[in-house]
Amino acid sequence: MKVETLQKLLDLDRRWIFLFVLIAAVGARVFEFDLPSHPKHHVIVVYDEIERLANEDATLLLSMDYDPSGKPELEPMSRAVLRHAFSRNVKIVGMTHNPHGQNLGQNVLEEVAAEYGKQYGEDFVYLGYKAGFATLIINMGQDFYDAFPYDFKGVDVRTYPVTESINSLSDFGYVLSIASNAAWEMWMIFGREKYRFSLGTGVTGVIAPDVFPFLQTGQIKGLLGGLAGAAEYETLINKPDRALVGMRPQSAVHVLLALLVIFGNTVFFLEKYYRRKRRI
Amino acid sequence: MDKEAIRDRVLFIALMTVIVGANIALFIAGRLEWNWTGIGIMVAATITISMYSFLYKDNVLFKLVEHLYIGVAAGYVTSVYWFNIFWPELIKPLFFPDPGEPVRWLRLVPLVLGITLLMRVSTRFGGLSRISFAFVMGFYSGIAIPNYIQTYMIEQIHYTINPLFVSGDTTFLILEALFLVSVIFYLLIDWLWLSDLNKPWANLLALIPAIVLCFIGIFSPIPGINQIVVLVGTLTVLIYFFFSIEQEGAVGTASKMGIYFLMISFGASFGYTIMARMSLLVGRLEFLLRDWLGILQ
Repeated sequence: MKVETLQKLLDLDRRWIFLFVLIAAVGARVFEFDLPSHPKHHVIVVYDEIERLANEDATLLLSMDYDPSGKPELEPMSRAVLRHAFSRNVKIVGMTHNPHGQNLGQNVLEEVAAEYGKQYGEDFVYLGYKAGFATLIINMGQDFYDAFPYDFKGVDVRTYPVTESINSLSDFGYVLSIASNAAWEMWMIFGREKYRFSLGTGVTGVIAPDVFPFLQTGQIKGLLGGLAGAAEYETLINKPDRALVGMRPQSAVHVLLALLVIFGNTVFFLEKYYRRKRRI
Repeated sequence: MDKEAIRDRVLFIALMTVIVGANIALFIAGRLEWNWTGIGIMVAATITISMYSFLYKDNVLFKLVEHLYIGVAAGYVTSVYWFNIFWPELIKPLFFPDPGEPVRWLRLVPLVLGITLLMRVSTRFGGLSRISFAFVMGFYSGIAIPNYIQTYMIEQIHYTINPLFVSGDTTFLILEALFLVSVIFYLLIDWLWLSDLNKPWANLLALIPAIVLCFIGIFSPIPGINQIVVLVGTLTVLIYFFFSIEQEGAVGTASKMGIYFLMISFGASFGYTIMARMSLLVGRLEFLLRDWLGILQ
């Protein structure tokens, strides 16, 4: 093989790779095929925690701390968890630490609640966004009503049956932070360590590796990592939706990238080999 | 104008024509309704394609949309802050309290601190912003330091120094012991033999058992083995970061294993990052193919 040809392949314009990725993603989305999804242990833990809430008649605090940039990964996750919780009649309090995510959280909560015929105030409440991050979490732990006297509609939170027994973060059976920012970390540092509630998280793929050390220690109970985590949860609740569909193009692109890495390395070593051989 | 510039200009005009043409066709065909939802989908699709046009080359359409995003995001956040914070938490309790509610005079403190913080833009009163900064620094350090130490050090160290042999089952205990012995054996071989060879294949020979041991640790159902991997990983990575000690002999071997642990962790992070970025692409494609073009149901 000619060294020049190999060199040309090594200098391949990156726009060709973008085009291959686009073709792989669109092709895998348009042509339907099934891919198996096997829930991992840390995803099953989240499922078990929601089941525990249903059995103990406890309340879930779902903090949807994501913005539009995290929506493709995290909204399917929120939807799957909400479907599971509503199907088991778990009461839900929703909120967000992300000012860009206020409407995203509200929309998904109301959509899924409507699917299961759940009533606002009776079965779920949405508190909306409030600034503060760490200080807000501490405030919620000290006095829940002082932190959130009103919900996002401006109605007194004390008037809702779903929040009447909540005085502090410790009164929630499980807190799940679905985050595209450092909110999950804030919940752990300023919430869980101080008020000792059970905390789980659902995060984007970029953040997921940072969470693993805290799974081992038990500081975080359950993790949904990226679109794959959402797809595994959909498999667990047996309600295939956007995450499982999205895993098809995702997997196709992963295979393509793995092949490109192998191809690039092979060409690199071949080029080196032929160049050395020619000199000899 | 050179050939490449002409080609780029033609492609740009073609892209614009396709976007405009597709939107008009979708409205005429009734695929998009002439209401705020339809217009919203059209705007979102146009902006998405414009942003992705950067993959070909930086262009005016991308720049326009980028600036538009910054403006819209700033406007949206301002309205969220006004309706969720400024009005209910500051303005209303101070100046327009509900009938029967007392005026919350204490809220004047954050109001004054907030105003002095903005004084930074003034050359004359800029010094006043230091009061607010000092308050923020002092307050946040006070609440953060103990919690960070508890989360990142005490709890993590506590797990690392847990007993290695935790299984009640004798078979598991034997397997854990075998695993620990093989880790020590690997380190000894690497130290006494492989590190002196100074050959590329010696490095490969050292890397393979390290990866195999890590995989056994990660996928093993025996909790003790995972514990051993955590312990060995923590110690060897810490040794790698001891730059004041010459990294040769036993220290060099341990530090090399630390590098393998770090490389595996970087690989995992990179893999997850690719997955995240591809998810965003999948999300946008889903929107374009289903909500905009209506190709998928």
